[in-house]
Amino acid sequence: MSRQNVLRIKSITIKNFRAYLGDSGPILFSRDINSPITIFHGTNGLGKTSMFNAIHWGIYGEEKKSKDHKIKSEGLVNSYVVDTLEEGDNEEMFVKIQIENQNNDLQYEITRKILLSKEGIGKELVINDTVGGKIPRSVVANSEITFAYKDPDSDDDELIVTSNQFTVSALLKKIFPKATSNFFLLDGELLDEFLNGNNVFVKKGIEDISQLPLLQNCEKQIKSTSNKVGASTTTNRTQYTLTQDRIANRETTKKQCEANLPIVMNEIKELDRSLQDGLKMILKYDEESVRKIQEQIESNKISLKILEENIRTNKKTVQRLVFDNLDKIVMKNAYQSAVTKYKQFQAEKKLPSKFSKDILEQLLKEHECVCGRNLNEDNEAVEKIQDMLSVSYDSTLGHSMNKIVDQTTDIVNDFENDKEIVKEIEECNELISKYRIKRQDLKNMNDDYERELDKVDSKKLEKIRESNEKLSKKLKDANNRKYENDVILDSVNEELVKLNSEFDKIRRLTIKDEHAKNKIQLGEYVQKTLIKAYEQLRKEFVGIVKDKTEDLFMKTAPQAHVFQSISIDENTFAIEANRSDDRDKEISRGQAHVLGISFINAIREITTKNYFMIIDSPFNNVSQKERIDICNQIPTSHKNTQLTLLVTDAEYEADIKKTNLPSVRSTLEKNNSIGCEYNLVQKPHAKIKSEEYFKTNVEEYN
Amino acid sequence: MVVNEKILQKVKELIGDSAPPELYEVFEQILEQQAKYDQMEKEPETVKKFYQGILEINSKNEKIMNYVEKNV
Repeated sequence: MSRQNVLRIKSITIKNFRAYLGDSGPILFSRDINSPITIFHGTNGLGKTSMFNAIHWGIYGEEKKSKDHKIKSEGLVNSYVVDTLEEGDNEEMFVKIQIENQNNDLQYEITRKILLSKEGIGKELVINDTVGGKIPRSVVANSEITFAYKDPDSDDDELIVTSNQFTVSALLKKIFPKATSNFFLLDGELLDEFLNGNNVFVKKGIEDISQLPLLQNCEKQIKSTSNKVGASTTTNRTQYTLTQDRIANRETTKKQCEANLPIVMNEIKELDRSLQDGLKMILKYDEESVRKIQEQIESNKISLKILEENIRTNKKTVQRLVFDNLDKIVMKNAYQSAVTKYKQFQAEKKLPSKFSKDILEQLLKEHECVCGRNLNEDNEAVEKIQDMLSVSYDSTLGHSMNKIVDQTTDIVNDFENDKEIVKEIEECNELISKYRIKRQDLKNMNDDYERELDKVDSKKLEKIRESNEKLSKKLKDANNRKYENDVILDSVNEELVKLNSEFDKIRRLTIKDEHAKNKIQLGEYVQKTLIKAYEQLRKEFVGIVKDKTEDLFMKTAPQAHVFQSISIDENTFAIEANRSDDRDKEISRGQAHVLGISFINAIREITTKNYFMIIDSPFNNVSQKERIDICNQIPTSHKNTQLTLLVTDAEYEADIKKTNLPSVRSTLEKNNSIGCEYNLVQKPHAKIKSEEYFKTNVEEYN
Repeated sequence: MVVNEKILQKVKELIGDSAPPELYEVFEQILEQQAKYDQMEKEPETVKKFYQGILEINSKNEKIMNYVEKNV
């Protein structure tokens, strides 16, 4: 890590800014290096983003634009303050931010204000640029800023105070360049902006934050000083200055060409990508493809008809076979049952005897034997008859069964021998099942084709074709411009070699003063070293950022295993995660979020200012597991950095039962990362007519 | 004013180990002063005088000039 100038927020005081009514008093931020996190949490809509924007507005004089930024009717000033201002009254809204260094020395104090005064009774609402919303025409709003800063040239602890808007603006631009705001004031929803190669703020921000322009500025100054030495000591001033001017002129052209190159190359890349997307669409939905899809649908419909017919035919066959053999099928069961029973009776010797069941019953009824003997007193005989009767029942049945067996044997045997029928039925049933599966597949396929065709809009296709034609022309133009740029650059480089050699000659011949020669030589050496340092460092910085981003991303990204590396465009600094498989799948929202965070943390490796970091909705679209991974990484990834997180209660206190994972709070607490914690609480303030006013309080969380 | 350590290291690397320490100090002074100028608004005349002074003084330093002459 480079030697860094740590900047951290000591406190923020808010008065009447959006949801915050009244003077909040100083809200202290954590300045403990071991517990560097300050948390603001609350339910949605209570003022987390307002807190974030209060800091952004305090520094830049405007709020950070969100993705779905719309001009809001309500402005920066709390609506209760505006609505209740009486004629002749004055009120103020302000944000005061105190920033200190690692030694707790106050470095900057920014106080940005809007002063309101009511000069009439008119209630008509008009848009006011200062307030950034609608306020009554009778209310006058004026902005004011006071900036107190420590002079780097002085050892005095006293801060220099200025209220000159232009001076303050110029100073703030240098300390907090707008381009770098993306690296310390982060909107969680905009984290994937870093993947956008066209974002000039990212490119400029990285250069500024790494201090690379410092080398260029030094080089420019030393060159100008050295040139002046030469011009004042030459014996041929005209020739000397003329050549010098020509060199300066060519160098300007060279710089322009070099600056144009990444722009035009990026343009070509973008145009080519759009063109390819259009071509893909056309190839997918051109007439030929549509015709093929329609043909396929028709062909499937014919196949479906054939399948229906086959199913019907097979069903009929099964029905016929069953119907024709119904008697055999039914009889088979009776036959099998009768045979079994009959065999059993045979084994038990229960075959029919000479006594029929009817005779035995008659005998028991009349109690008189055929021989005329009265059976009333012969109980033994009666019992025997009764036993005989029960055997006779069974025997009669067995006899009947025997008859059935005799009568049906032939039929059943015929059926038994005709196993072909059973097989045929089984085969038919199998075919019916297969046809039904095939029929369902074809129906699904046709549904998919129909849906695909629904997407095709011939007018849209026509538009894509037209747009592609325009894109092709633009691409051709861009390629021509690149070619022209390259040609100019080559010729300028060639010319510069000649001019520099000519200039050296003039200098040698026309400057006799040895001391002046030494000054020029030293200047030239310093200049060349600075240029080399700039060129080499730029490449090295890209490498450092790439490696660190990759390291963090692979540790914390969801499904990181699907990626094999991170690449960074050397010209635009746009980052890209490269998949390890060849699937053309875009990076998910959660993965993009982690990539952005990893990128920002990696950039801190090459900066001189360790800015505080404030993230609004840091866990938006991030799974609970990823949140925990990110929180666990904070002690290493945000080392020495003051971190402020504005989170929803839902993000902060995850439902452990649902996810079976710890919450963000418990993870941060376990790591001992939380230094300060505030709860945003909304309270009713007043009711005027039907209008109810609320205020958000920042309460220290115990 | 803090100058990126990596920039200073790079300059050291480019001028080489055998360079007189005074030469490294020239770069250090230039970078630190320019960093201050970049941060705070300064009169162009102040900046001009600083650079003139740097070249004026150090071009008289034999150690620096001998080294520069060999390496330019």
